[in-house]
Amino acid sequence: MVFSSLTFIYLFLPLVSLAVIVAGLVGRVGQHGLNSTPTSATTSAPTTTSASTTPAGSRQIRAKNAVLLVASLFFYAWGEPVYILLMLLSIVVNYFAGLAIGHFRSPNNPSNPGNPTSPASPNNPAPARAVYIASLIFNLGLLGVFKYTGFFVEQLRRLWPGFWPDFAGISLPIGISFYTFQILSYIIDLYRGELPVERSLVGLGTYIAFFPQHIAGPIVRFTDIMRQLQERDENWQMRATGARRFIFGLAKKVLIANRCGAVWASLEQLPPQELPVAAAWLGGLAFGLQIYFDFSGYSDMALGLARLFGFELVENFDHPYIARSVTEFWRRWHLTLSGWFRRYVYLPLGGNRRGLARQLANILVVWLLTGFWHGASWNFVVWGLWFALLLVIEKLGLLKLLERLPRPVGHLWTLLAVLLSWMVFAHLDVGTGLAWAGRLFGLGPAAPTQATVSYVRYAWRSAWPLLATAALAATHLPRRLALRLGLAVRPAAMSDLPGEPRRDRRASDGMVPDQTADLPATPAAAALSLAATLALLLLSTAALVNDAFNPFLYFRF
Amino acid sequence: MERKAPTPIPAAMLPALLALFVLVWMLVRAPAHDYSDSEKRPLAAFPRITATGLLDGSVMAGIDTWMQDRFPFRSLLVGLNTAWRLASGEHDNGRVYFGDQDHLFLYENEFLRSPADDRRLRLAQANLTEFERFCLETLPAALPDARRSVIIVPPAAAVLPELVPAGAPLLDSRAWTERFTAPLEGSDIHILPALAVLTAAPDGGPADLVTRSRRYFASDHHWTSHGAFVTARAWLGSLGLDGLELANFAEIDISTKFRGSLEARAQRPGWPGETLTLLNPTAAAIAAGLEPDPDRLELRDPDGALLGSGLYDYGQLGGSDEYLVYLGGNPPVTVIDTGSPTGRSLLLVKDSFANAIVPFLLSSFERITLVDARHGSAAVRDALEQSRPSDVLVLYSLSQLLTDETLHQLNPR
Repeated sequence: MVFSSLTFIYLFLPLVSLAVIVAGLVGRVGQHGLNSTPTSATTSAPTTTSASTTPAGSRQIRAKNAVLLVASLFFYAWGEPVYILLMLLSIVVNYFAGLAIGHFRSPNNPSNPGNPTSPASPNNPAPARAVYIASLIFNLGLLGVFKYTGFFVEQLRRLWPGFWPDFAGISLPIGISFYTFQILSYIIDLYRGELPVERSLVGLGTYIAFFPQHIAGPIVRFTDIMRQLQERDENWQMRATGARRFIFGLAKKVLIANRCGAVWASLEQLPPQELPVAAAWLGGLAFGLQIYFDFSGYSDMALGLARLFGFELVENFDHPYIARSVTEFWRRWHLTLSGWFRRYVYLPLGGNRRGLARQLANILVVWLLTGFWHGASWNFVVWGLWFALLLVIEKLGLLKLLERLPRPVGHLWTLLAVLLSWMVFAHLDVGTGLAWAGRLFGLGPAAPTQATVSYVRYAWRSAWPLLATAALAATHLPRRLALRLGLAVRPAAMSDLPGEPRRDRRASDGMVPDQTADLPATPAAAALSLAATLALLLLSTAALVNDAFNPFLYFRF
Repeated sequence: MERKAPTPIPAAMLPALLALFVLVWMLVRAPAHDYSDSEKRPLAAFPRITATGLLDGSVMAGIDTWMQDRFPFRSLLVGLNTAWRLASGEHDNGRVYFGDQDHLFLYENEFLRSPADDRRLRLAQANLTEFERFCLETLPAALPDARRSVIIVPPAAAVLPELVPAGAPLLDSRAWTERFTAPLEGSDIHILPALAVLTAAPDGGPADLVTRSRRYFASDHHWTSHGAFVTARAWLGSLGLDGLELANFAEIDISTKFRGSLEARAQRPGWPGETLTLLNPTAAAIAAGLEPDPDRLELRDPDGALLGSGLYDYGQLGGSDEYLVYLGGNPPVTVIDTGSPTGRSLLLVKDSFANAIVPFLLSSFERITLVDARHGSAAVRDALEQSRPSDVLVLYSLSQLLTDETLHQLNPR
């Protein structure tokens, strides 16, 4: 099941919402019946607590979490009936791995030789280290087996044609890259002593399988969600803003991304040698806009859905196409993935603390892995290395130069660099991707047929209003307009500086907290905002009812 | 800065939430319509729940399709989607092109530019072979003495290119037609160049026939009586059977709300429908014996059982597919005794396009036998064995020839 389906929006979601409400009521009744005092939940920061476990949370929240876990597993099973077992296995194994690490790191455990009062002690006892390493091997092993076996077998077969001649490949479980990275962040943070152990199987299961974000992100660290698994601020304001954000995300996906995708799909099969320059640009722009609106639309839907159930996740996008450098672009695109690699790969490798040469090498490693994370194919590796190269060039001086040059120069540089990257990203065959990129500048032989030339004219004529609208929608303009008209209200305590999100809400270091706008203050603005939101829902529903083209782009992730 | 206290939910939000639950309720309670009149297609049924289906995901995919097909107010939503796409400057909705003068055209982009779509190209290639085999082997073997003709009817976009959105990718009708007819060159089969006939302005004809846009429906993939008439006159003339005169026919508007198969893919909101006009023999022509009275003719099956009275099935008007007014549909074999004492008989191997041309062949043939191969090879075999026609006409639309998955039934296995 995907968010942009009628089954999800009009069957699954209302039923799950209803079930969560009922679970909350049942939990409340049970709690009042059993306890005379309210259950307390921790409010202190987890990294400063000396407790090694999190509190159990209220019965009401636990009941809701259980419903969300069941719903998430059902959601996953809808698209991956077989691989649900894999997810269950991951949850159970990592739950016990977490318990074991916590047990061996416990100050009461006689086998712990380290400083028992310092959870961040590097002196983890050997058993904890063993469990930690085993857990890493297990999680990375699953990812490797299901995602990369086919790739490596294929490379070996190229070198040695007789190697495993009848290998049929392994289908990739949807979202495995996302939820594996979430699990790894839990295990690593736990081992580092930055987290308490999650003693609730339901709690950890909900974190790993939480349906709003486990198939397309954002990649949420446990530390950003663990308190919300115990205690969360559920109210109608939050639900209403969540519903609105979900609908905005849905509209981005269905009304913009899918239609840009249809333009791209009609062109992508053209061989580069038949590609007029105008077609290459149309295809490139269409794909660039499709992937942004699709991915950021999914993230918006994820944040909106989470709010419906009282969770605040972290932002994943911040208008990346307005960036003035590639460095800035990656501070705005897929923030949670960049943050993950920075925290768990770049910084442990030394980051920028061990000299320029080491820093550049670290960048190379991180981007090699980032590319490979996006798919088991050489084009993703090339795509990652392309960005490594650009970031290194910027680091070596271009960034400072761009800052001194007029703003349009930086925008142009970034958009061109990203556009070229998308051509490689979009074609599994590296040669085809490079040829497409070359055709943007008229490079390479080209002999377009009259039918192709005619079609490209038609496609441009049909698509330019869409592309122009999408390009505008990719800027700050819609949000600023909504804020100025009072249709949305900047979240309380948010910085007034553009591009400077507030940092005082639920988000760990380096992550950008949920920026969902508040509801309008005046009844007139509220009515207008509601009408606009419902209009988008209606148009999106109409498109889902009628259009057959509704691709899911993340099956390789 | 202090966080603003949550404001109460706007009252207007409640109806929205209520609407969501109403939709769910309607879905659960939705009556099981199995056929969409407006879209002219069967609707997806709720899938059967099986263990295999659950494991391979087909049950879930089936539920998604069921949701799409049975969604409340589906027709309105499809119309809204079309209106939105038109308003945002698009010239197609992925299913049809929106042409000038309210004409819709089949969206053929997918077929044109997807060489990777092997299945469709393989089918077209297989149909080329089957068609050639039928014309050059099956027919001559079964009816060696009959005069044989072929008409391949082009799609509307090829006849009315000026109405198609500029640059819209189209099937190369000329090239594909030539691929079907090239193997027949040099044989004794007469091939009518239907594309040339339909695109040419008739010499000195009345104004309604000069207007090429009237030769195809605006909202349906079929040709109109006018298009069929032009083609019939050209074909009969090429056989030396002159005498089909437009003056012997009068226009009769039998529906003003015709919404054809292309409209079913568009569902334009507020579009009133188009006029379905028949060319019926005038009373004078009937009285003078120049044309039979189509309302007095009977349609029978090969065993003589009555299939229908009159060439036009007016009972179809107001129904889901008003094009069925022509002959009432497509039974496997239909026999029409025209009462015209010409001594000639015709075997018409055909698709639905032929239903509109039959009224103009009545005065030229004493008996017309229509065979539709889509019902199975037995009908074709029996017709070839039992009828002894003087003429055989193989009439298919190009779109049907390219996409018909039953064309192999023309030939014995």
